[in-house]
Amino acid sequence: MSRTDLDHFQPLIADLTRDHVELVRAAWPDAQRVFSTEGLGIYLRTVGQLEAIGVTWAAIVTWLRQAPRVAGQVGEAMVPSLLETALTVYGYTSQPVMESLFEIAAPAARRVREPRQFAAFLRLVAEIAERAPRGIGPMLKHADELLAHLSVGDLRMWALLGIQAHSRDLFAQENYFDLATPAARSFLRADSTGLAFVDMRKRLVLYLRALWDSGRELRPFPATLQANRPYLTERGIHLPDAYRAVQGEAAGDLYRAATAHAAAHLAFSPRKPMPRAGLRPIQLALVGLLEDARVELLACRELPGLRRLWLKFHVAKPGGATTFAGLMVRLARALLDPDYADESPWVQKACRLFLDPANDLTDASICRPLGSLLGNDIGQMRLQFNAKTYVVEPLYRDDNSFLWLPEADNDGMPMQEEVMLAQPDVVENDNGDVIDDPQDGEAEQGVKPVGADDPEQPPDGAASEVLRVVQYPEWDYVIGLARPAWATVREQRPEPGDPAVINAIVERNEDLLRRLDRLIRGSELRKQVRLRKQMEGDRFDLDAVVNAMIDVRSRRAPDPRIHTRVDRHERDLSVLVLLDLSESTNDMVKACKTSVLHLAREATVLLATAMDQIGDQFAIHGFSSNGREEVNYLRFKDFGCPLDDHVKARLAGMRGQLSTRMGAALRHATSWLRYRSCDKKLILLITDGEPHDIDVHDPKYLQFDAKKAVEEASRLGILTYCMSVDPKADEYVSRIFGARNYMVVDHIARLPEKLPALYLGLTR
Amino acid sequence: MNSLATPGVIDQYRIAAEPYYRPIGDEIELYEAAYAARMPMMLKGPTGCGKTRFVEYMAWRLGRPLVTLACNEDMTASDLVGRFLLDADGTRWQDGPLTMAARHGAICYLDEVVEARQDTAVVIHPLTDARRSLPLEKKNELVHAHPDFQLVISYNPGYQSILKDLKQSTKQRFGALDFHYPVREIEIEIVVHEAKVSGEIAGRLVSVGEKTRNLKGHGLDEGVSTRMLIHAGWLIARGIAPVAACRVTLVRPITDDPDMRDALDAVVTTFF
Repeated sequence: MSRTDLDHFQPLIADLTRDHVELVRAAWPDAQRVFSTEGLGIYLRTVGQLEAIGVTWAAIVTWLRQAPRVAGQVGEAMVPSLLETALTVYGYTSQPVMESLFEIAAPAARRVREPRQFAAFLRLVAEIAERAPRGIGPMLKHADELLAHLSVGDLRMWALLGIQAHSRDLFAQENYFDLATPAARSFLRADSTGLAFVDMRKRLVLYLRALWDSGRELRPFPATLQANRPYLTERGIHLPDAYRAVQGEAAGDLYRAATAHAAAHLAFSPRKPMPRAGLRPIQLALVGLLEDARVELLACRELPGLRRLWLKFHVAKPGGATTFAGLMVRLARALLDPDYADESPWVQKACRLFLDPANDLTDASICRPLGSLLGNDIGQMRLQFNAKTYVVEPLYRDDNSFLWLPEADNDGMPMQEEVMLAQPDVVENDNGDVIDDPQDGEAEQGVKPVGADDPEQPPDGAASEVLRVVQYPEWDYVIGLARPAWATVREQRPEPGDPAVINAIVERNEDLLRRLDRLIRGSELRKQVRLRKQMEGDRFDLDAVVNAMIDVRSRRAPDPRIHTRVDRHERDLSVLVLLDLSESTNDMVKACKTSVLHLAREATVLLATAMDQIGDQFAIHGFSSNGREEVNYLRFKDFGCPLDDHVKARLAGMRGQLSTRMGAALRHATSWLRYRSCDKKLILLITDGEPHDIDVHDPKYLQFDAKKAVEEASRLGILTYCMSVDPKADEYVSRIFGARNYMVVDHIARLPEKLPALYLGLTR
Repeated sequence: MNSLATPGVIDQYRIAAEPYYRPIGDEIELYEAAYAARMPMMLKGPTGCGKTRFVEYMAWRLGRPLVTLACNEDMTASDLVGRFLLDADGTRWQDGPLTMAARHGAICYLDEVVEARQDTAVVIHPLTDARRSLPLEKKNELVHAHPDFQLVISYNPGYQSILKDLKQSTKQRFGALDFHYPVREIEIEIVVHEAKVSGEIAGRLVSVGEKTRNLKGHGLDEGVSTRMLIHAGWLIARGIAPVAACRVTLVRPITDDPDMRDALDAVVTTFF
């Protein structure tokens, strides 16, 4: 009898019930292989512990099976910790959740490999169980997938983001941990594949523009492993938000290949969708494949390098089992790759017929008869075709749904079809199933993919037109990390009002403007400077010339700096005035019986008049927010557009509503200034209070985020200056903008005269 | 006293050999007619499309010396007209390039004239109307232009800011010729001639150039110019791999944006 035989542990199994002893006996050989004698003792004791808390038979079976596997991966020392964590989880949740921890433990151990990492994973599980008991179950279900993409540290960030983002909405929290929300997935993608659509977007837009001179919109859709083929609609080219199985450089090429293929369709495929009538699904697939080949060959004539790009993804090889799908990928390659030879008579026939020099490839109608013919051949070969599982290959090609008219209601595709010989006209609608295109369906649902610009959809409750949607990260000071794509800025067209209101402001303040005018002239913003003793210049500096001549006569080396030059001090400055348009700006100011917003507007108009006079480049934008999904951004005046009646009308229509998400607005303003070429760039923020928003309850959170946004701007050479009318603002404003970059106006009524004066001082 | 007034000094500005120029339209006839009338000319068009080469060719064809001056924003009127210098015996007047060209009957070519400050550009006014004279107020002299003198300026309306536009009073003194990148066949011919590459390579280079020009206004201020294509051709003719040559001469010079670089690299590999 070996020392590890079960009978050797008699004292430990004496306490177990008989059923459980039988279970242990069944699991024992596995355990013997990985545990030391001591480990086996612990293993047995854990069964006793589980029995003591009264878990089900099934849970014990799972434990007995999984514990040795965990020990095999990360060492037997982890087994007691695992049980301890499991008991914690059990305490907060339920027995099935504990069981799923047992189930996931071994795969998780395999993913993390290191015992220390596994211990960290267990601590994280315990933490989530405590802080988000509803989330732990779904998370454990996805733990293997999560750990495939994230390190334990990243997983913790991901989990904390979820807990904090949905701290009030437990249902949403559960969805987050179930990877059912785009936010949960986006973090995963950005971290995992290293190359998501968001990273590629700009490159692809430029690529499309360069090669095809096309400004077609590129849109991401949330791809799954099943539905990841691009598709084309009126709204643009829809590409998967990430190619999950493809990494690095190849993913970039894949996106380019998909974009180029879609562009080839747009350039060469018929504009009008064709009727499906008379074509069976197998023939539809074939006509689609021939059409793909046709447009690609046409594109290669103009852009020869595309063939190499596309062929990277044609990996079909001759031979192998003859299935319909197999033949399709081989045919796809054979049509595009002149060096590829296939022994299949069907592929050869297809190539011969299609690549016949007599065919005019620019004629789209050649595909249809050929597709029908080849489809019948497949019928003769009695190959199975499943319309439901069929996907276009290779990966980069779109689903061709745009080629066809939508199906009539009762003209559904049969699920499974065995193509019969010479029956092309049979209408197969026996079971009447209408199969929606899975990808199309997904995209048209209400779920808005992360990063997707969707200008057609106005936000609820806002009548203004959305011009642009941009997502910005937001700094979370608690986790010390930027939450990716967190705040959504919606740029909107402001509603115009009556420009007379603004003209009235100008008239009312004529005195002030006259004073400002004097101030501007007096401050000599473009003053001329006479530079003396210059090496080069327009004329002699007479004093220097006399001295130089004296030097020459007395045989000394003269000072060569004998010229004077007149230089003009040029102002080269771009200013973006950013107005806080939150609800609180509607508060009335007693002293002058008007609202904060109107005072700020008045000040802005006067400032604008002054800036216009000086000739500085300036823009006037404003913002308000309604949670992180809706940061409204209004552009009243852009750089380079004159201060005309249109601008005045927009300024007149200004109104205050909602909240103040300052960081996102600052980031967006920064993006407007960033690429302007001038010496100095300034964001002048006019606000009436500290940043706040409806979905944030920690006042420091948005303050720190705004501070971060200010720092980011300053790193880009953009100065941010804040003018606040909140008398209590000193503390937080200086924290956000820095000690010298703010001014608190105590007498709000004096804002209109203060602002232009401040501006002149600031920009001198 | 005036060293540049000595005859012969202008000869260094004569163009000895015929510069290569491939006419695109009727620009040679138009220019010749303008020269016959001594009308000041303005050559408009993107950088690297052949404006300077055209002026050189015309100067050679007309047998006139060519005084070229690249303008910049630090340039003052004295840099054009001339200034007093100091030497051991006292002050000495030095003619500027414009004065020299006017005295000796050269063609004076002010390249990228908008780069010069507006007040600088004004000194050319008396030379470009019926007066055809240049007052040197510091020297108290009125230079009457030589009968063969002509002023030519180049001007790229695209990329300068609106602040740096020419004054109307300046613009209206000139006749203007529009230059563009040549059409495909001609551009291939030019690249073949200048870079000594095969027609096939030149064709691909021109395709790359054409595609990048689609991006003008979408992230690029200008597409790849004919001059850049010739540069790429030079490297290819010296045995550099085409993709590397294009990267060095076409992509890297025109953009610093990594996304744009990536897109342009992809365009290059589409043709090579």
